[in-house]
Amino acid sequence: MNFSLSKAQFFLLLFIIQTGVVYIAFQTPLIIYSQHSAWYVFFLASIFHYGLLLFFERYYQFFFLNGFFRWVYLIYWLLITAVLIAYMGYVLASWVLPRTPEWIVVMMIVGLSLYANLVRPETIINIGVMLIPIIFLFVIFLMLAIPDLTWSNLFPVEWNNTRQIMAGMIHSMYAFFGIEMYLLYRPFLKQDLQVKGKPLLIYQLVIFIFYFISVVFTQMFFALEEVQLIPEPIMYILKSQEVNFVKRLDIFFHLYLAFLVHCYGHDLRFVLSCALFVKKTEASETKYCFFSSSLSHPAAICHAISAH
Amino acid sequence: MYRKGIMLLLSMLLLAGCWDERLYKNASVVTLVGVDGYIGAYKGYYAYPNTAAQQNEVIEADGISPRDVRNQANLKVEQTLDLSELSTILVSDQTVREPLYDILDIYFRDPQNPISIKIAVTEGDVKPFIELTKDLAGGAGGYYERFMESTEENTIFPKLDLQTVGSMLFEQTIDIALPYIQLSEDKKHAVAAGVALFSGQTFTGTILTPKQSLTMLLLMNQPSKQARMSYMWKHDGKSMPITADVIHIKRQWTVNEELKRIDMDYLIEVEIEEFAHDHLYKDPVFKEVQQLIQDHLQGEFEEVLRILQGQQSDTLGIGRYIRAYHPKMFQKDWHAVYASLQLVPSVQVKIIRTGVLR
Amino acid sequence: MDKVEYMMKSLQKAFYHSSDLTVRQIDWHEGDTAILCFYASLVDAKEVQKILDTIYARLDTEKPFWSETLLTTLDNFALPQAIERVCQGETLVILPDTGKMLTLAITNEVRRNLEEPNNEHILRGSHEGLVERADTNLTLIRKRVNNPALVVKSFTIGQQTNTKAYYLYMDGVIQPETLQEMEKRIADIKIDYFYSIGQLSDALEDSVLSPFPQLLNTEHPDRVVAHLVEGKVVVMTNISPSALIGPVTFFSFYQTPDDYNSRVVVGSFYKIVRLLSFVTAVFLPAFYIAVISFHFEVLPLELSNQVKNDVNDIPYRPLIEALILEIIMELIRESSIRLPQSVGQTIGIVGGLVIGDAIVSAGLVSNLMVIVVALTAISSYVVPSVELNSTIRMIRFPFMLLASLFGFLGIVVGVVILLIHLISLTSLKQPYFSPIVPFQPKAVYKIFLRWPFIRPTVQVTSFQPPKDEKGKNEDTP
Repeated sequence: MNFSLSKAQFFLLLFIIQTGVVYIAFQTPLIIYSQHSAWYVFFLASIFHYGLLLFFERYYQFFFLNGFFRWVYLIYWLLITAVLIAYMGYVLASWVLPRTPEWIVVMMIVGLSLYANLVRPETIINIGVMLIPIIFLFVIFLMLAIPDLTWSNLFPVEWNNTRQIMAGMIHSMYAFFGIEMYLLYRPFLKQDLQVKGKPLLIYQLVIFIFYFISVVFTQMFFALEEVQLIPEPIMYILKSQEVNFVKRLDIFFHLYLAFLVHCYGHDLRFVLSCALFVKKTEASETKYCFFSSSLSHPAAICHAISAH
Repeated sequence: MYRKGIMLLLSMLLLAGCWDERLYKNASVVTLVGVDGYIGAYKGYYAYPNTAAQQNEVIEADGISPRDVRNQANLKVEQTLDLSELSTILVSDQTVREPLYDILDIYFRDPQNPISIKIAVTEGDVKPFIELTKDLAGGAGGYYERFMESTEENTIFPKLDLQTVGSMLFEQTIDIALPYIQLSEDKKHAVAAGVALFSGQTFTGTILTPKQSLTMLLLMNQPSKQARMSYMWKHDGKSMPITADVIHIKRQWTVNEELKRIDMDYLIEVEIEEFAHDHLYKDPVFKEVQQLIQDHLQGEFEEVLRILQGQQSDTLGIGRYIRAYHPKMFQKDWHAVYASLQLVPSVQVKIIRTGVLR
Repeated sequence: MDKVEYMMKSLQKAFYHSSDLTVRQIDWHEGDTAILCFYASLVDAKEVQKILDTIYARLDTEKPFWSETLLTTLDNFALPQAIERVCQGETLVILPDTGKMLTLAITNEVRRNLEEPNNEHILRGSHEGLVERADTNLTLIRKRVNNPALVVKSFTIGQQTNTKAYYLYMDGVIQPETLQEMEKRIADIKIDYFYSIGQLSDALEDSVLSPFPQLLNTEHPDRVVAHLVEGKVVVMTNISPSALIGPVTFFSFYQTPDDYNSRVVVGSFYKIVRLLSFVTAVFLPAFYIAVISFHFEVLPLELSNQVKNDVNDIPYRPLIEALILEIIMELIRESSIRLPQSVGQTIGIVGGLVIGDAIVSAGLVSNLMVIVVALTAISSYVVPSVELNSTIRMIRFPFMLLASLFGFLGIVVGVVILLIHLISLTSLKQPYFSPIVPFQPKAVYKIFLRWPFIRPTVQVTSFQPPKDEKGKNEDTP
């Protein structure tokens, strides 16, 4: 595994790993627990995240995983991948493809990421570039919802209810899964590049704005009791907007989100890190890819079945 | 051997067919839905185009719930009803005396239903309204959708779609006012008859006339492209009509927590569209006309607010404002508090334009 | 005399007694005889005779370099070399007494006029085209680059056919890795009989099974020169007017000489239109099938009535309808290549009437499908390169199939597979999807805009991001 990343590639990779399918779903529990204070609880959580990033940047050279923790992380990643793939399968089944058997959808996602992983590693790193225009379009279409927003939903800002704030912080943290990848990929960045300072701030701002827009829009668009009923508020907002002649915008974004973000975010982290840990030859790297993909697949199916 | 197995598996995938295929040619595309009745005994009407004859067919069915009604209707059609292109829902005024969300739940739950559609309340039974679309060449739902959109532009109906209605149904702090439609004498057209006031999820029974609903929309600070008001002006023994069009509204609400009173100040800028007497450049005429419009508007505002408070229907969104900025005043049972508030409107009218004549 | 006759007989035998081989005895200086040996079909007899006369005149004067002129030279006689030279079209005068041979390289120039290539029309710019003769091609190129750094190396292809071929590069601009890779591949060519440029490009390409061409095929000399100065290697042969250029990126297939000959804004606009045509050509039928079969709620209400009217009476599903029309389109395209000029117009009208009108009235396909297929066909011809054109037309079909299986999901799956393939494809071991693959944000806009032409730029050579951030690779397209 000898590749080196430039700054743009590194941050793009990290962005994709951190924003996954949680993007459409984490707002609901956050708003349920924090009610009207959701937006500033999220703001506090992202400040915490920035602090964590600065901490990592300063001390990343000292990060070393011994044998036991490698296994802990591997199992953790396997479980997360399985859970998130199962969740994505469920979302696709309820929104877009009601009658297709779920195992086929999961197999497609896993199969595609298997194909992506078996070619050279630079492919995976660079495929995120394809995602950039989609993200812009996504945000632009969200902006169409602006006439329907009510600002007053943001306002009774209450500071005294600590239980709310704590629960809200925990749920905001769901948005920032994947930050441990910073430590793992940082050594691969080219040696002479400067990450501390402006680039890190820009990255933090980009992620923060991306998530913050989603939280704020969700809070302003829906009534509080309504949010409890809607598990994927962002998709719902997109569905209710009508561009000139296209009615169901959410279909497009679902599908791209499912594949690009999902495949590469999760399977990538799992497989690549798996191979990072076990430093063997190219041939057994391929075997590891197969092994890990096939493992996450049944795990995802089992989870999906047990979820119903 | 191994490879053969994979090939076989993959080709089985193709043979099994596409599970989610919904061929367009196999679906009856319903554009207008009418709901009548009450829980346990709903009647539903579905209008879909009959392509061969260039007209719309109406299917009628009974059932215990809206979805059940559709299932019963499916027994009567040659191609399964498909509601993905729905554009309007009509509900009769008897049905909305029960909670409205019970009827609408299915439209929110199914991801294939559009939720940027219009909903309206009809006077009496829904059936004649749907039957009148039979002879229309275009889509049935399209007729009502365009009808409501144009009335929205005239600031008679508030700008709503199913999603905003649903959102407001869930909130205690604001109530909806749905468009109310009557049938014309010759039973061939629909007539906009104002808005139906709701308190919570049920219909209060009170309708605001089109003039009153225009005033309500001005109170809500939602004037649309045209908002015209006509008054008679008595001058020198003669009566002359004046028509004014609202251009811009500035409003300010001042809440007095101890007295539970809200002072609502409105600055309304209008353009005079019709004034046969002319000579508005003359100061006394100008001031008199302005004062006239102001007095009329003040009276109308007070009347509408009285009606709204009487019916405990907070369509203006006062509850939202209070909950956001004066949370101490806000209580769970907002409707009772709302009825006891003292709402004092004060209007100031400014004529800023008079067309191209003076 | 015996020796001479013996030599003549063995020459005839070595050439398998071909009737167009002429072996004669002629008189030489001071009573000696010489053997004249040439292929009558390959040499230009009158010119050879003139030069021979000049040489005869020189022989009398005892000059040391009597044999050296522009076209003639003296070598030692060896049969294999003699055979090779005669096959290349040179006339041999064998002097048996001294054991040397005089070669006169005057061939019968058989070539067509320098017309504009049929497949690559441009609006403005040079209308010359390369021909089936490597030497003329070299002329056309050298006159555009008057620089000794334009290096020409020759090699032969085909162990049995021995076809002459050249590869050219600009020394100083080309990267050493590129040159080494190309030379290695040329050395590895194992072809026996070389008769088509397709064999050469198969041998030189990285991935023969990929639908995308990895070497650019062009007949325009100014396109060749533009690529040469950007550091690419060009291979030309004696049997085909096409020049093979490598390494290329996907986006270089979308450049035409017209871009640089027109204004900045106009050129950028048309470049963007061309790139969008890729999207339309590949995805439009699949999109239509997906909408009609799975997600028709995407259509707005007014349009949906029309579409429903059109689609209702078609007896089979949209995929079959699309396939029928696409196959008819492909048949038309194949036949139009071979239609004789005289009948062309008539058949065109018949085809238009049949496809456009009758097939719709017969109820076999819907109006919308005809529009979709026509738009697709037009968009696919926008690509300036013939190979990519065929590729685009072909990859439409898997997308249509996927769309009919899974709707939009199928299209997305197809797009992802296509992207992964493109991103990992290499052309002479260099990334095919270049400004995107080692992601250089500053270089991406150059795909879409025609920047004012200031300095030629060098293509990225590896999948790793460039070493120095401030180096010249920042300007690469």
